[in-house]
Amino acid sequence: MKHYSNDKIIHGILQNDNFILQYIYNEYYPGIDLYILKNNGVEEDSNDIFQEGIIIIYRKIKNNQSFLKCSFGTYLYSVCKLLWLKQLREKKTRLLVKEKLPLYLKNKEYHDIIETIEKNERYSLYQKYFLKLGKNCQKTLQLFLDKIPLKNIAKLMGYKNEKYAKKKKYKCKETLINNIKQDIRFKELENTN
Amino acid sequence: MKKYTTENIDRYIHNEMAPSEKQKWDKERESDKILNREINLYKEIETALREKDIIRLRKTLLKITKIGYSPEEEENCPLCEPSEITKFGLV
Repeated sequence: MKHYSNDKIIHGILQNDNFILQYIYNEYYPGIDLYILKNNGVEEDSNDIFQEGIIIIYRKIKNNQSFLKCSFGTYLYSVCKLLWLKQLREKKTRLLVKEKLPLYLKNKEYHDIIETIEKNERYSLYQKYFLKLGKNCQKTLQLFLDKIPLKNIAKLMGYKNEKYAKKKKYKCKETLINNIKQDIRFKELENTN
Repeated sequence: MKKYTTENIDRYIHNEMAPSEKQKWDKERESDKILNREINLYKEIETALREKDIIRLRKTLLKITKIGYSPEEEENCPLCEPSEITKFGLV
């Protein structure tokens, strides 16, 4: 399999390049999966941690493209490991984790990542539930956020009138918020704040 | 808590209330921690939903990892062959 440089990978993540993202998954997911499975996680946790790891790296790239001082795989692995350890800690799991401290990261880098992880957590939850809404709800909410005039939203979405469009917006928002609040992770995050 | 409907909170954060009603809510917000928390949550959710680039990246990652991905949305997304677990020298 072809190997890509850090620059190519970073560029691919920034461009939301399907091919590069698929490459990252093929290349690095198995290691992350193995680590999580060996440390009290299940397959779903691995998927989740992998996705969040990439999102955190994307946020870091947006702030500073030259943050990467080691290989991409090493960095991704460290971020995923930190994410998983944090989750375990918050779940108050007193189970043995094979390696307690993140490898490869120097002090400042470690603190930078922790900061990004914390900022990402709540947004991640909201965005995940947004993506679980029906397509019409997602589109309706997005149009409102883009400040598209009500009249145009009704027309674009095929709603009978503006009043209905607004009603639909409230309904979608209510569903989104209720779903978020029911998530155990939301409750955990509320308790840590 | 009944009076704090999604519609009302949404109207409040988008400045769609009449000045007198808005003033009343401002006051209530000061004394009611639950309301204040709820308003902050709504605002935070909107900020998160404005991150279109990240939402787009999430969609792609969902497709790749196949969790929560519905087949009818499938575009041309070649799935990988499992690669060898050698990358990180894990235990």
